[in-house]
Amino acid sequence: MKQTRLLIVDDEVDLLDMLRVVLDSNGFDVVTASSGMQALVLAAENPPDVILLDVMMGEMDGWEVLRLLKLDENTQEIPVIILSARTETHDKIRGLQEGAADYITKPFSVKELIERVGRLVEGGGG
Amino acid sequence: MKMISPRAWFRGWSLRTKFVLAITLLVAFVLLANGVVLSLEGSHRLREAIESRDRAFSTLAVTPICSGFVLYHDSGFLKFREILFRTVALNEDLLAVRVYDTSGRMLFDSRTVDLGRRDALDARGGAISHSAFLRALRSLDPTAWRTGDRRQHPLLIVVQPYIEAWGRHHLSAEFVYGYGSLRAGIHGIAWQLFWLSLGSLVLGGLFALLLARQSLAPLDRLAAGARALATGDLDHRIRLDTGDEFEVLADAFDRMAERLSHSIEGLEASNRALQEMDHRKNDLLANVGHELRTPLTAIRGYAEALSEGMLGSLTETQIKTFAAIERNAERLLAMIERMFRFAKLQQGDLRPHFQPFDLIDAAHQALAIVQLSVNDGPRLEEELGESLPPVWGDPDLIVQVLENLLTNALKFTPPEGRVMLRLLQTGEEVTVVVEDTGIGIAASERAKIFERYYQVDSSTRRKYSGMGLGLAIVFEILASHGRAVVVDSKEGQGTTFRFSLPLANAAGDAAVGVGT
Repeated sequence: MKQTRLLIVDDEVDLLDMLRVVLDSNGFDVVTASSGMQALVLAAENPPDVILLDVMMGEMDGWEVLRLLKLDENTQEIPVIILSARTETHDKIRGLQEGAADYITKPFSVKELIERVGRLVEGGGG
Repeated sequence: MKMISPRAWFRGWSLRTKFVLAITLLVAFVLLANGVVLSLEGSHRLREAIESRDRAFSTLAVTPICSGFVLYHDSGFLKFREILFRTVALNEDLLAVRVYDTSGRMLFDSRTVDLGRRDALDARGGAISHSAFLRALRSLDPTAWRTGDRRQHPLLIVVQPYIEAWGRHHLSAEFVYGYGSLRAGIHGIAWQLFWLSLGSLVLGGLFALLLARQSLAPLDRLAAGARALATGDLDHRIRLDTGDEFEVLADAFDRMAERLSHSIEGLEASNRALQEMDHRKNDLLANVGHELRTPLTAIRGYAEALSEGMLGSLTETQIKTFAAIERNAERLLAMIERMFRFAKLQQGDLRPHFQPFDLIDAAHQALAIVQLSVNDGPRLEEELGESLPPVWGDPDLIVQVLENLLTNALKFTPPEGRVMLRLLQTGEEVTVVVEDTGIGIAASERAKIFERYYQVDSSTRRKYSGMGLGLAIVFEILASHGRAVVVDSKEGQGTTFRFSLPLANAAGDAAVGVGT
């Protein structure tokens, strides 16, 4: 069975490391990017199955990255899960309107994250 | 009988009225005294003048009358009458003339002819004794008496000897004078005095009015200044330039207002500074909350992965340890979450997103969150009903309110007690009731529990952990919904928190203005 390939984008290196370690050990093929630009490059080079995207980032924020991903026909089909510290409903709604597949608020449980990613991959694959 | 004290008489009189009254009264008293003195003095002088005129008249009139009497009385009475009338006409006060010889026999009495004067012939009466009168008739010098009824009909009687050219004296004339001209004179003086007094009084009154207005005008400005200060207009200055005590008072007043406005300015400045600091503190809280959240998420993720055995198998002790790390990280996160939320609420950043939602759903969410932390604590009961029409509000925020109220209730309820969440539809509203059998809240504490960081007392801080933000958040969120929480509590028996939300179909139109 082909490993699910994940691209995780977050400018918080520690969080990024944690996610890589945990998801890696749960059988995912994890690629990380610590900036929006890097994420776009990586996604274009080798499109992942799912992208986990942090919203609050320094230079280019998650919304911008999401918009650019959705503009590129090579990447627009990739499901994107928004990771955000913003818990308000209107942020969630915005995320879904912009084309995100899911919206997970920080702090999140890794179990929940794995569950959601798994569901998304199954849904996409089936 | 109702007594009125002198102080009560003047109540309600303005200072101006009293001032004018005082001056007018003073003028009136002076005038009265003056008038009395003047009229007494005047009448005295007038009387003297009149009497001396009458005596002189007697001296002059005796000769024509007596010689006329001698020459014409028996032979040509009409001629005598003419002489008599002509003479008498010269003195209006002369009432009667009688001619006597020196033996005291009356030869002529003007009573027998009509002089057209008031009849006062009997007035002499017993005032003058017969012998004295006879002596006067025989004397070569004139004699005068004041007689008659002094008050009503005072009379002056002058007995004037008629000494013939060759020196013989055998006739004397008695002249009887009234004081008619004196009366008229005094009358005149009295009227003059009256008009003069009236004039003075009016003039004095006007002057008093002017003076009162002039000198009491500053008082009006003082009063206006005091009123302005009382209504909070601290920039008002009286600035009197009268050079008298009023100016001193006004200066003191202005200085007071100056200092007051300075200190108020100081207070306002420090208040602004405090608000600024509060704002910055909330900013800081929000930032710190955000900054803390990311590393804590990492810690929690690691701990969770480890305790779940995702990163390899662990011993029982290790699993427990990581579970504890995870749990504590979660607690810390929840705390930060609350702080963060409150900071945003305080800044007004967290505006409710009004929409219709199901309160039963919200209650289930809140209960699910709260139930995680109830282990062997009080019983958590619910009475939510089968279904309710959707209510109008922000579901996320209301879940938070329910969570906080329940957490609060659980915290202050002993393990054997119970906490009950109920939803009741009442007309166009749904009422949420959170009831516990906890320690209760004293009436004196009830108003303060919604202040942030407030704990009922410092000793409870040890027993009941927490930051004191939960109820403050409840208050803020409900305030943003235009709602209030009602607290009902009996110390030692329990507390009931109650609030309501409007039904969505009822509030839909009304809440348009409240919405985002």
